[in-house]
Amino acid sequence: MLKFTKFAIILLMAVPITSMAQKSKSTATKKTTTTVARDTTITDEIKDAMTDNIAVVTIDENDQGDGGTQNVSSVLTAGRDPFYSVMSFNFNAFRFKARGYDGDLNTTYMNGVPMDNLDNGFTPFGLWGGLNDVMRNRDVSLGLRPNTFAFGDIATSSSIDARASKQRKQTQIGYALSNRTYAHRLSFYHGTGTSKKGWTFVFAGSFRGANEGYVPGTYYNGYSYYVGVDKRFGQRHLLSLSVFNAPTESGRQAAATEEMRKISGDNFYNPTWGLQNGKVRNASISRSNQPTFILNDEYRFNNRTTISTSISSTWGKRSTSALDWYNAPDPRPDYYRYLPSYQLGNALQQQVLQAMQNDINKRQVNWQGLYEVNRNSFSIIQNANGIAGNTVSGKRSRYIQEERIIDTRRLNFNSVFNTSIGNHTELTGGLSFQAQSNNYYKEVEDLLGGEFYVNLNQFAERDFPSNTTANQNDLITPNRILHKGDRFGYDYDIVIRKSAAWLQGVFKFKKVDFFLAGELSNTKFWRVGHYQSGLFPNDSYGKSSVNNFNNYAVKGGLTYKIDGRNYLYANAAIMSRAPLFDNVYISPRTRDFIQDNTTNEDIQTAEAGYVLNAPKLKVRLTGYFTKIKNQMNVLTFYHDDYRNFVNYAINGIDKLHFGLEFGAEAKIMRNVTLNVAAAVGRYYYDSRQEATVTVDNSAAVLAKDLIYSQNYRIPGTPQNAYSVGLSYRSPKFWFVSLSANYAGNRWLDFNPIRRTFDAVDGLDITKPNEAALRESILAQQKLDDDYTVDFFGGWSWKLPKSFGFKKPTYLVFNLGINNLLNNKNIISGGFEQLRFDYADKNINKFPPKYYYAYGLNYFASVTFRF
Amino acid sequence: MRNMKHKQLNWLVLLFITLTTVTIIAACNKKFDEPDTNFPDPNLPVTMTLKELKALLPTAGQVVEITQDKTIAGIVVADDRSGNFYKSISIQDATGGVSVRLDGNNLFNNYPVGRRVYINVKGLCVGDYGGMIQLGAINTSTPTITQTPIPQNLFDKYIIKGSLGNPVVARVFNSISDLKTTLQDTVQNTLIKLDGFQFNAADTLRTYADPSLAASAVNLTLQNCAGNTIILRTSSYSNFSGVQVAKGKGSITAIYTFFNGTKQLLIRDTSDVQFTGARCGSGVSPTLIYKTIQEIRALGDGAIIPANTGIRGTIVSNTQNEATGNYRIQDGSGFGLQLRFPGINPNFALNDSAAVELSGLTLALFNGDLQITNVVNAQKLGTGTVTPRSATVAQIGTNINNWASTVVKLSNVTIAQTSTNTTGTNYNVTDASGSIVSFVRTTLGVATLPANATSFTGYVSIFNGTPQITIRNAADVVAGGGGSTGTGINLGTTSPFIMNFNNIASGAPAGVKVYYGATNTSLGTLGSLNTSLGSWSNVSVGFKNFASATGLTATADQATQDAATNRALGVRQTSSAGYDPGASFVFEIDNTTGKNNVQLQFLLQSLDPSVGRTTTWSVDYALGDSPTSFTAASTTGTMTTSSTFSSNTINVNFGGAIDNKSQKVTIRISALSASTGASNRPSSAIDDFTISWN
Repeated sequence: MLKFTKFAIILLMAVPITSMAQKSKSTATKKTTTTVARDTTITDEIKDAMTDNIAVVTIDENDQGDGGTQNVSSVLTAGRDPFYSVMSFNFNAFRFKARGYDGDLNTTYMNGVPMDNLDNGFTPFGLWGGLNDVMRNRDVSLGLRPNTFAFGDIATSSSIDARASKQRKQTQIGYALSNRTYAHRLSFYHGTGTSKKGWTFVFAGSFRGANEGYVPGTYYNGYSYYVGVDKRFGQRHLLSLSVFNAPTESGRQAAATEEMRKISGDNFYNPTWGLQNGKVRNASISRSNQPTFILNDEYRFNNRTTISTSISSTWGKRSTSALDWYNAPDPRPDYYRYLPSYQLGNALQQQVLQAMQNDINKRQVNWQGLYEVNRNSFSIIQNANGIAGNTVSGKRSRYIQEERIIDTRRLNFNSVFNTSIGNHTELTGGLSFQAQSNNYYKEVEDLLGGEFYVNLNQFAERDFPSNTTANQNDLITPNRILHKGDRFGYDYDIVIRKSAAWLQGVFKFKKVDFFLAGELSNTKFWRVGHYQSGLFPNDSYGKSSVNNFNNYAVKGGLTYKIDGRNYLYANAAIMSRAPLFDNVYISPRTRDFIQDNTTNEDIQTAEAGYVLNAPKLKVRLTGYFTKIKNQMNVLTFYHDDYRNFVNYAINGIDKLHFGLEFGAEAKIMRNVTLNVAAAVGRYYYDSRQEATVTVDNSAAVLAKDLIYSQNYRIPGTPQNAYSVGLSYRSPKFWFVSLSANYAGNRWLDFNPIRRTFDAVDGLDITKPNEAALRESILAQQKLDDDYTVDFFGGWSWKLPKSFGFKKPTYLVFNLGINNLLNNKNIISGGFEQLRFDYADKNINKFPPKYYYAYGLNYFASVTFRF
Repeated sequence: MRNMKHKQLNWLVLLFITLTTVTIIAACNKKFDEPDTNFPDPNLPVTMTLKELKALLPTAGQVVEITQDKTIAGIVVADDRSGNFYKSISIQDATGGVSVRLDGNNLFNNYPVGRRVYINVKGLCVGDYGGMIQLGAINTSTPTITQTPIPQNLFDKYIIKGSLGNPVVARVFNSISDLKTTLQDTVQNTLIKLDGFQFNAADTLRTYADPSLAASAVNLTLQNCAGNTIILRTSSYSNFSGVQVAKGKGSITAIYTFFNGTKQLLIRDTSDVQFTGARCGSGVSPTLIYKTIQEIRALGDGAIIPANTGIRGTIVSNTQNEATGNYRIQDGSGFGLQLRFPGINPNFALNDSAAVELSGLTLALFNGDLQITNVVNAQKLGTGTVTPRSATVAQIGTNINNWASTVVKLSNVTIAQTSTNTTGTNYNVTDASGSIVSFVRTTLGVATLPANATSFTGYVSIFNGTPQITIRNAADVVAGGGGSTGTGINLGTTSPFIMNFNNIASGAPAGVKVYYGATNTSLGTLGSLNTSLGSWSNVSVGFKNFASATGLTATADQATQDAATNRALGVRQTSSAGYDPGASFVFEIDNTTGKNNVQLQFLLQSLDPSVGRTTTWSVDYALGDSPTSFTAASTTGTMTTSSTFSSNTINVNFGGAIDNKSQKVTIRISALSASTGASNRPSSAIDDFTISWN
């Protein structure tokens, strides 16, 4: 018991003290806080483990062509704030996003270096998936508060301290059983503690796996390891090396329409898999293998000044696979032309419905059929591999499984100093340099019974039948014959360089604290093409021109301390941000064209709040108001009329976010805590966006569309969320908690081309039926309000000495059950398909696709600690 | 310390166990099994032939549901690999063929040519498209059932895939007339082969279809050496759409189809066209020596063209307004020639440029027109243009032997329909200088020509010594200038402008009107010209087609008058209201833009010496449309007609008043005052109306 308490105290102290609540802790309250923190720690552990096991899925359709954003978690790491710890965890099922912000407004540092991807701004949580045991030392700063490690982002700024000497001296072996993305988890942790010579070693690893996850056809296979070595030189100097990786392979899930759900009778219908000789095979596999190392040097000049310098590197591949096909019928079972709704007449619809219900090969990928076609596809390729007269013949695959790979190389450098001047001033500042290079390409993963594939663009071939070069993906080696493992399709690098310098002053006085921080940064990026595309021979090969952006950010804030427990504060920031590569290049797979107006985004945000921090009651109430201007986006989707991929380059996206956050934690009786949290926000698109429409095959601008998006709701998060929870913590080291969580005002991501003049052109609003149709085309879909009830429990059992353990040894049991009511009808997210039936204006021709939240799901773990 | 080591050993063991477990589990990631694929035919009894299937559709235009539980089988003879077939395959058994409609693309992956398929037809339906029978699914969303392609997810319900690589021997047809277009014809949708065919010469420069997709499909003409033709129809969406057709002659293998009685062939891809042999005849020899058409014509009637001789020129005729196989060709020498292709029609279009081999052929007159017949070898070179020669009818007559088979353009003509028959319509086309016949065939599709045209373009031909002009399309006739007041006189660019009235048998020249009841302030009432040959002494009133006094004497008898080709525009005045006074010859000139010192000279003729009265004529003019006031012009010469037979030259000086006018200029020669004397009034005439200018 004593050790456990001590451990908890160590943990707490290891957390850099930043929040005002923690800063103002008096010695008198320390004891109480510590007790609470101990139990919280257990809860956090299980919560971490559980969030690690929630499906991370693509939430938009815009991911064809490369690995997309599949590794983006909508999950925020749980903080210790009474509001955020509830909201981020309990609303997982509803994909709650704090203040409605996109993931790229969060930032995460590890051992002092920024971990965010420079390509899309997201935190790559997957890089350390399964390593919860060494990622627990976290400092999460909410909103616009000052940080000690970086200027920070406007949603959350997290700093993970994974250095060996900051980890527990302990050995731990765990096993967990679950019914989510994975079924089993084995984990191992060993921390040596710091030796007298100043060495600390930490080893951790895990295996996570499932033959089938919660969603049919998905599977999971993930390992992870971590090695940390610290060497302390005297009292002032600490050198740390952390190396980790989490190679993972999983079968993916895809969103589906309601029609497919009805046909299959399953809300978790997943079109990505099929049976191959009776065994489930998934066509869409996600893989990641990107090791990271971080070297950190912390030097304390004196008690006032510290400099922490880090270098990190991450490299390796992540990929998703998919079916590709060449002049063959669409192999996707949920292709709209195959479905009952597409057929003419009730009789045919019934026949097709029956056929699909009776034959799993019509609902799922028909692997047998794909092999059949490939085995019988004899073809002759003239001038193969670009060699005149070289003729190759054989079974040319019509269908293949391709792997869309992003091969990343990253290098980060960051240096931060903290110093205090006098009793009132703390100065912090830093310099950082980040370089990232991503190589995007496709590889043949499986020829599915054929002998070869050819590196040709069938869309160009169809559009330019008389042009013998337009259909070449790469003119450098035309007609290249492809075998398993060969590159094809596209092959280009994006290269990004970002450098920044920042400075922050925090000034503390008896009644008032205030701070001011500023950052200057420069971002450059460009494209390097390795293929000379037949469509754009002059705009595809080699280095593109460099896009250069200079940015500033300023923030400041004021805290008024009414007394030791009541605080009022207000913060504000203005900043500009460079656009993301993904949103600037219109079609980087084929050419280096960029959007016409590549401008910086502008953000203005302010927040103000009240904090009560009493022993039995903690309250936080915050209001915020944020304007984001001039964002860009590029959507790529298949267009029926053009029979090709169309690029929808959007600029002028403005957003407005405002709302209130409330969190309270009250000890209502001995050992019983009541948690209440509410987030009520309004997140709007605040402009009419402009889209430039081009087709992948041509440089010609097909249209300039105005998107009537003003006051459309920002989708993908509940705008109202409420939670009530009761926890009982027994002095006998067990606890249970039950919470109810309600999410409302949820909106579906909308298809911009349905909100254009063309989409409703020709409808006569004086006719009631046409006016109603117009309304239904323009309306944004609101998802039903929903709620879940979740349970957590845990017991830490100190094994009796009589079992023969010489040192304190524990078995820790944890159980978390989410969605106790087993509600399988909660739509967790989705999107409208990026297609529109202009001719008939039938919005049901391309209906929305949804994801459903898991029904009752659990995570049970047992951990052996000594 | 020892304790420490012991502990380290513990975790090392644990680490080892964990890693081992992980590795073992990882090794369980087995390779996927791969399915077998071989395709024996299913053991299915075939209970219906395709002939029996098609017999279920008694009448075209219906859709018949198949209720019998029957199985047909056939071998795929056409698929959509090249894109020439769309959402359908054609299958064939010993009794015939049928098209099966399938709602999918790239069907060839599952139903390639050579695969035997078994189809359980119960629940499907038969219908037809232009008389071709199709098998498909039933669409119940329409008031009566219609046919729709079978949905992709029902392919397997109805169709059982059988063995691959079954050969189909195309049935050879020697005569196109053996191919029928009846509803249940057994040859439709089967693979046939025709030998000895080639693309007609005009199509040899074309591609199979239109890759620009301006037309969704393109018809080309195939012909054999006997001149029998059949259409080859190709979808512009096919992947060989932009491929140049084969230029030789040989065999073609294709699916035989028809559409509402028009026979057409559809190939699966270009390998179905084996036109590698020499074309009918020996083809246009690459060593031909080309002559100009002028040189060829100079050889004269009856000449045999030397060996190895050819011409190159532009086709100036349209087959739709010519006898089958006849073409007119004109070259840069400005000469043209008629060519006749009695056997293989090259199907040249207007403005095709072509090379034609004439070796050993005979140049001969046919109805007076030089032509070369029995032409066989010709080849399209591209397209060309010929600028029409501006001419008057009179000039055509003068130059007929040089201008035959070349393009001319007449200006400001009136057009009058003279006769019509089942083949076409004859028109008289008249300009200021005369009239010419133009025959428009019904097949040209130009319903009627306008009464007036500002320009009239066509090629000149000769029929028994008489020139004719033949238009090529409706655009050759630019209507205008007319309306109720008729077309005005276009003075042209060369001074002088002369009207000799020699053709007034076919009507007054454009812009020339006759009025009665004319006054100083009014044109009067539009009269009509009696175009039949007139008699000087005839006493009935009216505007007449008189023999000109020029070259004749007062005593010329009627036969002499009738034989005179020199005609004059005349009038016989009587006491009829409006003629004395009031008879008036009106000349409406479109404009005198750019013309200065405009002068008029004409012959005023007094033709009947047996009369008693004297009529005094005057010349006046007005500017603008619908004039209501006229200005007298000064004249020199004798302005009266009376009992004296005479032809007096009158000179009129307008004093610059009608110089350089962009508006209509009306000149009248009128009897505005009453005649003097007693007894009959004179027969007066106008001839050789000549306008000159600087």
